[in-house]
Amino acid sequence: MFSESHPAFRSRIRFFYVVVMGVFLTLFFRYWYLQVVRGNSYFQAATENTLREITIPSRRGTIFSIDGQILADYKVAYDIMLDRSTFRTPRLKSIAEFLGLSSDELRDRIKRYRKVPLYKPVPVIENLSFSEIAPLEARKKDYPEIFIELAPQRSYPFGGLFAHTVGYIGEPTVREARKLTTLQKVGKMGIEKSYDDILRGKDGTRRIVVDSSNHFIRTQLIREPHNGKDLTISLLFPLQQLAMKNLGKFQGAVVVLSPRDGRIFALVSAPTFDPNILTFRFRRKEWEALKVTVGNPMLNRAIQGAYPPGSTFKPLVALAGLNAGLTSRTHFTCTGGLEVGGRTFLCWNKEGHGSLSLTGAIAHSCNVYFYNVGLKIGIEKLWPVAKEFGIGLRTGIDIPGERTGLLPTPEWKRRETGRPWFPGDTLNTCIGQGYLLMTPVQAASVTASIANNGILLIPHLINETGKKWIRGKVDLPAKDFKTVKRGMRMVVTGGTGVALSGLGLPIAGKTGTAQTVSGADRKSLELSWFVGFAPVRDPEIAIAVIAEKGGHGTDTAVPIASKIFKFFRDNREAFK
Amino acid sequence: MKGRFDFPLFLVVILALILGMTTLSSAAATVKGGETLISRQLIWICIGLALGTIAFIVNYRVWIEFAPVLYSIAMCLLILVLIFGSTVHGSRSWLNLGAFRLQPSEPVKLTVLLMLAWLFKRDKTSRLNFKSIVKSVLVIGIPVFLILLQPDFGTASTILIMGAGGVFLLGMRPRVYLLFFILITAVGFGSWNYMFKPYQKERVLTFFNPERDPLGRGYHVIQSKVAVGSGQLTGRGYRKGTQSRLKYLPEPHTDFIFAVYAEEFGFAGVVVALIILFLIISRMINISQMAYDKPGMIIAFCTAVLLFYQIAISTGMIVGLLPTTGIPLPFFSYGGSGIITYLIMTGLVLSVFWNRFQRV
Repeated sequence: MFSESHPAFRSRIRFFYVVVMGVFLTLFFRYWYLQVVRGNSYFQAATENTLREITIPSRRGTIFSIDGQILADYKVAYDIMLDRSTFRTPRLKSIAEFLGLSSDELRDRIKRYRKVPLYKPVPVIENLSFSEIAPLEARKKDYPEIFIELAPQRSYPFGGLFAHTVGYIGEPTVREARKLTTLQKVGKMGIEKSYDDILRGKDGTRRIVVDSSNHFIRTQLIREPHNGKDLTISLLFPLQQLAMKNLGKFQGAVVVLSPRDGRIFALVSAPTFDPNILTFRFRRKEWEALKVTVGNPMLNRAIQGAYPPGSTFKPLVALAGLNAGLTSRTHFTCTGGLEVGGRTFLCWNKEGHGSLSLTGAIAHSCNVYFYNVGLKIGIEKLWPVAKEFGIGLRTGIDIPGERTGLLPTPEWKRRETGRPWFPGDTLNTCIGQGYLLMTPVQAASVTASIANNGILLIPHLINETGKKWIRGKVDLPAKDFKTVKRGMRMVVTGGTGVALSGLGLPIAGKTGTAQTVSGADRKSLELSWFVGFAPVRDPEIAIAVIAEKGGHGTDTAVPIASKIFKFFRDNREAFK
Repeated sequence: MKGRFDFPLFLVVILALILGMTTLSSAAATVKGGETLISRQLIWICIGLALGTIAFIVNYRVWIEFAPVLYSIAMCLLILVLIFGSTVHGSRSWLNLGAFRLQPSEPVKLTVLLMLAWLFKRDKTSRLNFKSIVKSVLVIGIPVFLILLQPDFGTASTILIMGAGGVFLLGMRPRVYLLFFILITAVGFGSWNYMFKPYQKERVLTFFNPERDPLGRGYHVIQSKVAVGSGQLTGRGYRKGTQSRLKYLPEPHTDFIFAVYAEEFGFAGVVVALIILFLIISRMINISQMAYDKPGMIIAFCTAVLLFYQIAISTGMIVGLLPTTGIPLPFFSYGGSGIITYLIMTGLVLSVFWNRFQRV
């Protein structure tokens, strides 16, 4: 052997051997000390888990109306958090009692967080006031698993008034949660949803050390919270209030917007709901109840209600007619009805309107005149113009959930029903009935486009203007717009909307009464419509009003519109 | 000849592998893709056993003849990894070779070992002369330097210590030791002030008093101490360690794997593991004493030094005895390049024992 004949190596190897022995003995004693001598206290430390990760809530941006009202804000509130890594099931009953919950309820609440890592504490009770937490704070020593955290609660001071526009926040879905790092709430509807990335801040993180009696020893900031940005939206608080009040008991919607830049001054859908109750995690029952409430208050009728537009569609038909060769002097005679294909299509005036020009037909809302326009130009000349104005397409309004409505074409009918397009379908479409469906925001948007001679704007709630909010331009001659606007002006000066003539404001508009079948009983109901704009020259507002079961356009929609125009007349400055 | 295969060493290595796989199968459960980690490690172990067998069957003296070639290839790989390598945890230490990834710094340990043996295979002195010292320093220094560039502090220190162990075994004059001491102090002082990254300084600093900063740098040490301590005498049971389950331990499948073991099997388990690991090292030391020639002695001794260093750091770090440098525990930690290297080294040491009476 080599080392036997070389004693120098042998001693060096022995030296190393001694080092190894020494180190292993040290390790042995160290592990013995940690695991046997101090094992019990480390075991305690592990079970009580002395380190916690705490979320420092970021502030979600405040939402203001254009006139400075706070529409969404925060109020100080506290959450009771459960630290599930130290929580043991046998303690469930005692903790539930302490918190004033049933054991089943607490178990359900804990179960919601199955996918959240155990070391992250989760809220089991939320929205407590300072006086409510005081007794809990006093007894926290007995309940080391729970602690109290400041958790500002989103509040909507005006309740239902802005529910459909501002929206509300709530628990993220599994998909939404992927972009979050903390247990944050996200926008679920309206502005809160569409501008969630701007409004929502980024929560911070803090690690804290607590001792075995739940007293906090040390703390360290891991990540600073970043607050969300505030937003101002273009809604006018008093106008919104006025529209809601005057819509009253009716189900329906009001949309007021600027034909200059697309900003929305009022958007109301009735009935409405209180968004404040939807932001809570543990109020599922109320939410379920809301979903089955008569009238479906969660539905935003202004952008999701698809209605036949009735006579408010006639100005568009007139534009299509002018485009297809008719002139302002083209006359048709109304005898109270028109027979086509062995069927009589009626005018609302059974005596008949006699001979009418295009403008007169708009003013008196003569069905027979527009039946004749339909027969003359045909559906193939009508629907492309309607499509250019955005019928059957989303307006692109900056809140989610908008519906498209429906623009029927022969091809569509064949595809959907398997039957061909009949001349009668054209006639029905010409008076805004049949398959045609529009949302109130579309009606307001089309009215605005007529008012501004064909510029298609994207209706929006965010208070900004510019090219971004222009969709395009309808390619029709200015004189055609002038003709149709003259007809709409005549509606107010001497036609179906004469009730609006006394305001001292040059208003143009169009009334509408549409029939639709709704609900399980398939009962026919009348929709009361009004669309209009003012002033006729260089318009500043365009509106659409619809009231379900509101009778004729003149019965319900026109008086509501009258209040809105009156407000506009008295507060012109606010609309600048 | 009868009794020439060293069953004791073979047996304790197999036992260590079994303990290691058991712990890994618990630790991997908390890591992303844990299932595949376990099956992959099993494949690596099989490859390692096969290569170790080959290393054993082919006489270690044959391997030494190839040392310069193997060493050159390894240095090329280290340069390649600096250029084409992929970065994991901030160091560029992996080569993508299509089907699998290689961490060249692990096999480099093996080639440095063989290279030292090759350098002194005909050396008859019991002390290194100046020329030999320069040669050894170069053989050790080049890979250490290249690995520091990655930068992989842990592996570089492993090779440095193994090489230093070899140089110590071969012997130097007392005044050369003194010279080295002064040099190292100066280099250490210089690099502390000019070369070390702040996080490396932090690690060394908190080593002295981790408890003063429980939420920052000392966090991992405290958490692993809690894990080890809470194991108490008998452990919390296989797959029942709360510290590792709740992800308080960083890298539970590599650097902190012994904390998982200590938490789940307690002091009793730790004693068993320490005895097994101690037996591996002491048996290798014995074999180095029994080696027929100088290269055989170097191979067995340096392997013992390498394993000892990694074991001491990895088990000492988690209980706050040594700074957290991120060195894997041989036979326990996940990692293909590592386990294959250790098993080939074991094969070589077994070959040294097998050929202990044999002339070339």
